[in-house]
Amino acid sequence: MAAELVLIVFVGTYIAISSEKVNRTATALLGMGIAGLVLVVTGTSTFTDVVNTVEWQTVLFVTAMMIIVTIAAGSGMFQFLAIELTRPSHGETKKLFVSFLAFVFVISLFLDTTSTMLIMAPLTIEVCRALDIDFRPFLISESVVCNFASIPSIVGAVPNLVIAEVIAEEASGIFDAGIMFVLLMPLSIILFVVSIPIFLRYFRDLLIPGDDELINNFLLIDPSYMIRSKKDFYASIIGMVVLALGFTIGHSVGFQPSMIAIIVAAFLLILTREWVDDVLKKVNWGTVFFLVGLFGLVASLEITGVIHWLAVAVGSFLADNEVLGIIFMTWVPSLISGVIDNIPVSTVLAPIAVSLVTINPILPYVLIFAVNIGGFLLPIGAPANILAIAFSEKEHKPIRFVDFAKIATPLSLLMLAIGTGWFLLISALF
Amino acid sequence: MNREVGAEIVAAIIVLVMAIVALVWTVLTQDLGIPVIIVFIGTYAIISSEKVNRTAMSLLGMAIVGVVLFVGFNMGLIGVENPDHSIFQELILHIEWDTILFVTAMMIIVSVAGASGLFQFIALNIAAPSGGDHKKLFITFLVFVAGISLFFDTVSTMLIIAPLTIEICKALEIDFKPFLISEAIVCNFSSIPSIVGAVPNLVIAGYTNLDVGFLFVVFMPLSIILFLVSLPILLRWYGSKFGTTDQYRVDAVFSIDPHTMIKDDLEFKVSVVAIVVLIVGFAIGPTLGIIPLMVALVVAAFMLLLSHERADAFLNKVGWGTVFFLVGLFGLVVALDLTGLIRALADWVGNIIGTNAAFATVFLIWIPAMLSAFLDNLPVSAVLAPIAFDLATLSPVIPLALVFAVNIGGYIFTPLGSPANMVAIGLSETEHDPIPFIEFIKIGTLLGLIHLAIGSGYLLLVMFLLGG
Repeated sequence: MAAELVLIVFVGTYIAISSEKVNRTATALLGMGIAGLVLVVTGTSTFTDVVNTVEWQTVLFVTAMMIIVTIAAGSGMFQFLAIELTRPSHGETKKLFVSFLAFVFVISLFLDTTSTMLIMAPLTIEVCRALDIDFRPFLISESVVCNFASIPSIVGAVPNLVIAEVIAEEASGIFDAGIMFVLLMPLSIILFVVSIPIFLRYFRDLLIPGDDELINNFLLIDPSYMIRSKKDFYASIIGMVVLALGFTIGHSVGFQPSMIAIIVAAFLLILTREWVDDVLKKVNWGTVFFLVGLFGLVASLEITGVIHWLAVAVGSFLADNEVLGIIFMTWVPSLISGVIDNIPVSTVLAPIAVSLVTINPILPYVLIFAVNIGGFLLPIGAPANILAIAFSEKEHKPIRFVDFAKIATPLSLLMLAIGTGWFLLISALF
Repeated sequence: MNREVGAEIVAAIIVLVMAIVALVWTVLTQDLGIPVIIVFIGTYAIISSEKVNRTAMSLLGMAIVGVVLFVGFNMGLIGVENPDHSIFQELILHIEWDTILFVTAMMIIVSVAGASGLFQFIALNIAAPSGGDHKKLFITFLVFVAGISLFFDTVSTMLIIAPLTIEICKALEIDFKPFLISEAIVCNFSSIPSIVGAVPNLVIAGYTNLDVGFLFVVFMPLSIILFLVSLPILLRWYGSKFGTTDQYRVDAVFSIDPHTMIKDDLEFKVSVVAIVVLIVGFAIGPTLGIIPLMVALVVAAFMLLLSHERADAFLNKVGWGTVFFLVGLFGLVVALDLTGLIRALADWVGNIIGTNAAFATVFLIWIPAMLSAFLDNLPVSAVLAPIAFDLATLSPVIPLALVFAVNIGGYIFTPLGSPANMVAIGLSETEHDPIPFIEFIKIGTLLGLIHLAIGSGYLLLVMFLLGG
């Protein structure tokens, strides 16, 4: 009885969130409260149990990572680097386009997709306006690139953080950030190399050269005015290196990613003492508490045994078949992520992926790939896309959902096919 | 500016030294107790110096204690309950997340309701009948504070009432400092009958399975007695400062229609309903098994939902610094707990007290009160609550003694004991008319000692009546 009711609350909450008519944080928290009420009224468990089953470690981890990223992004150095590195393009539209995408590709490894777009979108719009070229192809391509370029890095996207932490917690020893990088980085490079010519061809009519005089003016801008704090930038870069080392080397000695993230975040906060409260205000609390609500819902499902039942059902369907497992883990999560936000998809599927590692240890990494690629299958799948669209609307030159889907959907299907081949190859080789 | 930059570097170096000393100690002596205490006291000392941000420092303290425990775990000095978990996971799991979530939910509620103008509306309505008589206004405000203290934690209470007090006092040309000091004291002691009245109450209740109804029945009369005793003292103390404001000014202030305070009609109505649901939920929820956290969470979520696109703005207004300060603090206390230090302290206190329930009660009133005077009352509660739980076998009154002690201890000797005092002082500073610490200490200590004496007698009486 309780299981069915909780499932109804769960599905109802997800539908409400996907409709995008209501605030998602509030809806998720409300769903958690109602699910808790159901459990209390049916006498299944207490609300305290639900709260204690929430993956608090992951919540703290995500918060710590967001603090680090906020400090790094606030330093203004990414904007500085973007201008500095795109200079050699000499304002030539196509070269500028490729160098922007390459820059997005690299910083996506360090920043989560939302932060990447928050840094890049205003900058892109400014540069394009200075050169009087259409910024829409840039924004669409950037949001596609920032989604798929995130796959090799734990910190690249919130779903990666969630999946990595849940798996590290439930089955320690299986998850390894080093293996994740080695396995997915080549794939990510392949995807980048494949997508660039497609973008250039598809947008060839829009990527026309800008006016010579405008280009000369643009090249006169001194990018160093973008820098707000060099100290914060260097501190946060050192922090990120410590993080990367901690995630790979620290992992082998049993350090938890969340412990390393909290140490680094707290140290950075101490060093930025004057504006700690400002940093904390800029952290995306909406997303953090969205996660808390989702985890609360998933916890209720776990308490009523629904997750276990689902894992058993998927497990028996796959019947220890490696090939079927890989195909399933690539396509099903990505199709779901296309329709609903990929963070909730990850929170539900991560525990299931844990139960499937006996079939093939690469399945958790396949899940990371799938939810990130699924993010741009449809425009509403990932917050980065929504941000790109929102920015274009603010400039009164809106990217329509159709414009986005026309290029992003075929690309995403192509990438899923490439990914399936890649994972099948890897599992055949090892 | 340069000195500021120096402070954070010095702090970072001290933290590193502290971490290294703790780790070396762990490895050399094969003992976890002393290193954990080193980190705990070191973190506390750095926070008290007020040279670095306290949120960052408490989180860092928790992380360092995590590393110390991790090393201890790998040396086999400490075990975990669940073999699947790492030691750091145990640390995180034992943090009082329900308290954290409750504080967050209450902050969301206060920030949404505050934005709707609800509190200004109420304040104008209750202040108008005083008609410019300062004494009457003073009493009205204190009664109001005593009332809402039952439903909001002390910090929220002060965040609601202090800005209103300052505004009305300025409009009537009254010195607001006596008002703020008295309100801070009243909101501290008026919180004792209610589990949600102060965060320490919630923490103590969480550890000791305190009965909400029992707490209310025992403490409500005491709280009223304390109020009736304090009021004449406060009026006498500040009597010389009170007078009456000229009639034309009074008319000018109170001719404002309270309805103009309402910024958004829908939000106002939603806030009214939400606060009513909250209060009713707190009052009758526990009998149905619905804990205050669930009521607060559902109400907060509803309010956020209805504020729609402003929801993220409200979330950003929550005092995240305070929330994560608590997370770090709880983490440190968990470390003390995991290493058995709290157990040892409890045994030690148990030995002193023996089986004498009356002595235990007096002890648990005066010692925690003295501790809370100098330390924030939250960590004091978190450390002492397990001890009170053990002693509850002697008499059910003992956990109540602790609740009483940490709330009263918040305002004796120093204003540092309770964050509500700091809110009051902080707001007076932003008005460039700061409350001097010594002003607060004089009246706070006088009243606090009287309150402790009354409370000791009262609780001993209750224990006697219960046959303890």
